[in-house]
Amino acid sequence: MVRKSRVARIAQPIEKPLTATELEMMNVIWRIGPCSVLQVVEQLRPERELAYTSVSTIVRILEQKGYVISSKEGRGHLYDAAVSKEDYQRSTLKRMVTSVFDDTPALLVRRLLDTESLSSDDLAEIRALLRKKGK
Amino acid sequence: MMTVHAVNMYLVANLLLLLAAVGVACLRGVGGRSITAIAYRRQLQIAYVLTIAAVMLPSLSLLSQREDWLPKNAQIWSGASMGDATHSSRDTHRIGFSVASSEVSAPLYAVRAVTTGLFVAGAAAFLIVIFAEAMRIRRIIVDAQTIATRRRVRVLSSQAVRVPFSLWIPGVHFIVLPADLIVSPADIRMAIRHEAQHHRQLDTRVIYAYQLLRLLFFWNPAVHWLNRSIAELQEFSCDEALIGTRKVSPQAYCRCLLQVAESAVSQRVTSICVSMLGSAAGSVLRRRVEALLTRGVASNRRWPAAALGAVVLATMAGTAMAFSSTIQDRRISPEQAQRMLAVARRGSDFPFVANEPVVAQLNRLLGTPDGRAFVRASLRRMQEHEALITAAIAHYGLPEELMAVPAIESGYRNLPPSDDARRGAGLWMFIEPTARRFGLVIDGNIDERLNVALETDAAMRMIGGLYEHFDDWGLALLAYNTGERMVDEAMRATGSRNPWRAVEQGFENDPDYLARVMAMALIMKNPALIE
Repeated sequence: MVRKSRVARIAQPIEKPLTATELEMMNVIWRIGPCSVLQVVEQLRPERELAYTSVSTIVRILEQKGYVISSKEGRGHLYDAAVSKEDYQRSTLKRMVTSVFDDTPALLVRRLLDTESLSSDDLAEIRALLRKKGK
Repeated sequence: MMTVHAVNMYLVANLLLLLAAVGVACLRGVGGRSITAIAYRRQLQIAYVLTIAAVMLPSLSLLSQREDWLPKNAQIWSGASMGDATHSSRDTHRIGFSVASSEVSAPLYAVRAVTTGLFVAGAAAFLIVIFAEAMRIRRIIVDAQTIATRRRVRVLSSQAVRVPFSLWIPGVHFIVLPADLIVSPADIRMAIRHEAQHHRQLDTRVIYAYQLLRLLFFWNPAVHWLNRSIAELQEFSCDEALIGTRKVSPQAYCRCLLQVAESAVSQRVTSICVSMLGSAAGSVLRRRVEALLTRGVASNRRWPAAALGAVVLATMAGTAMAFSSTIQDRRISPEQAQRMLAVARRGSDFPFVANEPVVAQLNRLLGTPDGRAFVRASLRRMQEHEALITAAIAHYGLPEELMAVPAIESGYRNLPPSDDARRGAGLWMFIEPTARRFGLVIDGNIDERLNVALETDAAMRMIGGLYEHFDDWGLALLAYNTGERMVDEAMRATGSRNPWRAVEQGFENDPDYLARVMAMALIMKNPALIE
């Protein structure tokens, strides 16, 4: 049942947000590209001691949620991101604007400028982006 | 009649469920103490037995009672009941009171309608609540990811829950775990073992039966309490079984419970699934931990638990018998019949009788809505002919109790002749040969049986003659129905002048006729009973 619906889930993966632990796994996969479960476990160490089985379970959950696709590689599986980090950032931001910032993106930017200690480089980059967007 | 039984069964079941709840409370009180500890598994079994008994006993006791007290259905077997159905059902000699049942008094209907309305509304509201919960759980399961599948068990991970729970639907055993639990394999194993044990104990199926009970008895707090008790016992029993396998150390198990409890900040309790924390608050968790750590191996002996269960069962059975007819139709007891008899005999030397057949007929006439309607209608129609008949009775010097005869014969309806020649016509239901014998003219143009005055006069002569012949009102009335010859024969065969013996021996045309006339005569002397 899960396999059949995989395509549908990939089409709209953002329906199911990630838990903190799942996001940790995704960050590893986004960083190192296609990898095995063992590689993920190694990447997480030493600050995060997770059992192989836990990671394996979580990666399979990610696969069901449509964030990851697997391919057979020798005796094991290789997992790769099915959703790019940019796409995830985009959809997360969109959800956040809707739910937290009353559907008003300007409010988000204002809060960002209020609270974050932005360096002058950051500000310059933001200005440049706005200019580009305004054209 | 069926509704009265259903209502009685329902009321008794409510009472029994209350007793079952009390029984379970005692059981837990006794079985929970360390000296008299009873294994939770046993406690749970007995709780199930008591619940089943509470639901089944009412129907059993009512079934047995039904045979004793009630004829299969209230039917009157003579021309008396021909009523409006005369022509439609002329083929059968047995005609029920069916048309009359709509005449039951209005206030009773109103009360019934209001009660039914309240019940249906309450049950519907409860059903909606359960349905909403089911939808919520369905959502959780659809959104969850599968971690493992073993035969018919599916282990799911869900972000929407904080507490593991299990759910059975036909064909699939679900175990749903909180997504956060996955990072700790030890806890996951424990949680799966726990939930699998619930499936193994059939808790996840039993829960549906208890939800049904809660729906049917939604207003009865005892049922909800019983439901909660059962859920708690299931948890205790599950804990007990897991610790008993020795694969799980009590300490680790408790840690897992606490872990789950900590993360379950405010998960709502659901009704059709069994959750690891059970259905109740912290106190239960504390008791579970206490039971796990301090309770020795509880006695698995059967007898203390069984004895306690038996005592409660016996009480329940007794209650079921005692209260099985909380709501009655107005049944006439033999004592009541004796009182009616005493009233009737005052100022009358007619030989009234209130023996068993008469009491049975009193119950048919007064104890059923149909019967009461029939009696009322007969007495109402009687007023129309009363003057004429009383005059005729006085003229021939006969007892006024004979007024009961047309009531039974025709319900005081001047019935036209039917195709069946044996059935008679008129108020007194003379058949053709008898009518001719007493000088009534019947030909193509005229049927003098339908002339009330003429037929009444003929009836007076006939009954007077029969009384002269038999010198006993019982025999004379029996002969009016069966014919003089058969009664003579009966007296010869039984060697007795007792009309009831004759009826018993089968010398009758209608085994209930005499009893019914006697019952009607008694009712006419006790008119208050039909008010």
